[in-house]
Amino acid sequence: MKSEKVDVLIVGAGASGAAAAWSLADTRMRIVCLEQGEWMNPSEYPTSRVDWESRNFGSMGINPNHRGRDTDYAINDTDSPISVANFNAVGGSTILYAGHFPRFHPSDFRVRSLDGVADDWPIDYTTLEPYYDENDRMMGVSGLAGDPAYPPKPQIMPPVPMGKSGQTLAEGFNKLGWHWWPSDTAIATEDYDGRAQCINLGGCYTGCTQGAKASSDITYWPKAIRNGVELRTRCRVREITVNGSDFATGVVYYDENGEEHHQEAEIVILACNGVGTPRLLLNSTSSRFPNGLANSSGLVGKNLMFHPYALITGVFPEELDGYMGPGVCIWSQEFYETDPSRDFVRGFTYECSRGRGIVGSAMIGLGYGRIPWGSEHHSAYRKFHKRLAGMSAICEDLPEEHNTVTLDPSLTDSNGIPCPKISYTLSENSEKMLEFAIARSTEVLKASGAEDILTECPIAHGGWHLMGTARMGTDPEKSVVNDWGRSHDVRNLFIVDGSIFVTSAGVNPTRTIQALALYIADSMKKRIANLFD
Amino acid sequence: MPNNSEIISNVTIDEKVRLQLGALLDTMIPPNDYLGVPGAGDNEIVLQVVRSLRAASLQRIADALEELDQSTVGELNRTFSELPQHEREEWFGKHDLARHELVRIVGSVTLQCYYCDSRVLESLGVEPRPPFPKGFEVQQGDLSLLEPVRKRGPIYRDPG
Repeated sequence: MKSEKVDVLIVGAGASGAAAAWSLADTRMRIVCLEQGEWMNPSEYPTSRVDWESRNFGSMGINPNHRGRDTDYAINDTDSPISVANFNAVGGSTILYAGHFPRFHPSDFRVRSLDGVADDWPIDYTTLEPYYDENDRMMGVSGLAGDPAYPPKPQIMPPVPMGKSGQTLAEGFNKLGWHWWPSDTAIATEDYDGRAQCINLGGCYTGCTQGAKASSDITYWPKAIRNGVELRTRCRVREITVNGSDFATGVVYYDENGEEHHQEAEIVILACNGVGTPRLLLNSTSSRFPNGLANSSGLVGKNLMFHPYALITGVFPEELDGYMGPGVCIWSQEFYETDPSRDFVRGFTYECSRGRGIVGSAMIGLGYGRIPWGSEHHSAYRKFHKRLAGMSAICEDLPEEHNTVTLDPSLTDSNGIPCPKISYTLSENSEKMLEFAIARSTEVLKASGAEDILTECPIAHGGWHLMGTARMGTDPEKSVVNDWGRSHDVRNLFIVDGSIFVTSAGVNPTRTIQALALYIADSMKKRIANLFD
Repeated sequence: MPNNSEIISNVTIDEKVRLQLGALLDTMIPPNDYLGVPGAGDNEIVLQVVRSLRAASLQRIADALEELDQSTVGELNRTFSELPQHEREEWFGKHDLARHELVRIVGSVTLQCYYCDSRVLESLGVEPRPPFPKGFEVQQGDLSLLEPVRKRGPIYRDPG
């Protein structure tokens, strides 16, 4: 079935698609967004029920291979020590993210120049700064101005509470003379732009029933739709179509009933994340593009970056926050920048976590052999209940071409579309960084009073951040899109998600993904008269 | 008990299997009168565990329970589920049943169901209610602790 041609077609309604749609809406162009997931209903999120933690293991889980939603596609991750975590819905993975919301640093855009590894970005912090600011206002960022790990940035709302856990850890950082600061979060600590303030439900990872966490379904999308953008859900795109002049003509997609459609468009924008975007490009083969669309460089699907995470948990003698409050509280960037005295380059952020849920505490205790089955179970559990706090070390992952997203030769989704396969290994640099991060976190947890320390490295289910698989750059032989997100090969095809990252930095990427989406949308608007030149 | 509808399957088990499963779960997490908590073999919790298990795994679990039940007969002349609590615990420890596949299969679900039970939550001082809409109080924390961090000044690199 053929639909009426639109000006702009966006594929994906997550963090970046929402931002791009909202920004482009003021052009009054006809904009349609296709999303394979559906609208979520916050009143049905787990924290509206007593058994909210159990649903982490069910339909609100982070792993698309296990959660069993028919809006998901499977991902073959058997060739990777880290499995992909995502969510397919309006809002994308912001539905389940923690709301940890750091910016990149100025040095993150100059990795080659400063440290002699990877590549510099074709843009810099100054370029993105106004878009960071704009995105901060749209999402509603809470934090405390003055963090010495960053150039000055505005404070919109006060930070989330440190709580007993954050304060205990902060005292440990102070004993060692190390940097820490209240985390920037995409969590409203005051009523903000129609959203109610955070009331410390504690289930950020399973969707925010209160609506305080800034998932893009409740921030950008209502405004974009009010401004005329059409959002179609349960629409799964199979391929991008092209004409003989190497221009995209639209996409082929399946609706909820499996009916095939061809949506024509003047401009196609991909916002499907660092796995979904290369999957779609690689599925878009034709006689002119036999190796996938926009892939003359051969780099589509290559340079996949996760953030290798180490999870370090302390068991404290006194009660802390436990299951109450946002998971995030404070961060430390003491080891963020390269230090030549270490045996690795680049660095990482400690994201401190204030505790575990009631079920989660039992599971971690059992998993680490600290809580037995049998008569000692109860007394051992009570040493864990509300007594866990710690951090994850989010390590910068450098791009390596052998880390890839390809098409699985046999795995398909419910529409018969080939699914992605991940092939990924931890680099020696990452392994050394993780080892260092665990050693230092052990020191700070002990300084904070922890009596027992549990570590997991890497976090096997922690592939939340999907980056680098359609990188940006000025050289068409070494990049997929140019310095404002346009494909080198297909001049009306744009990419706005994390796949265009050149490097990963050592922080969560969503704030930068959205700033980039706004920057690219703005670049398109500024060039609208000669956009395809 | 919570209605864990997301992972609940419409399955039933017969009384024998329910008793065998109850005996195993009570051994894994025994009742404790002092703390005022039921064991995981409590009827309501067992039913919740059964509802939460995937239907496909139930027959395998029933078979494994029968095998476990018979394992004590030769030495103790009674099935595992007929043994008193302390003897089951002794057998469990002696045979390292914590590593038994059956325990691994039901363990995670058991924790999910047990630690949502209102009696267990109350014994931990936790109000048995959903987090929403009441939420929780979390102390703000002392931001004056940042003084030494501020004093150090900027620590980021400016690439110029």
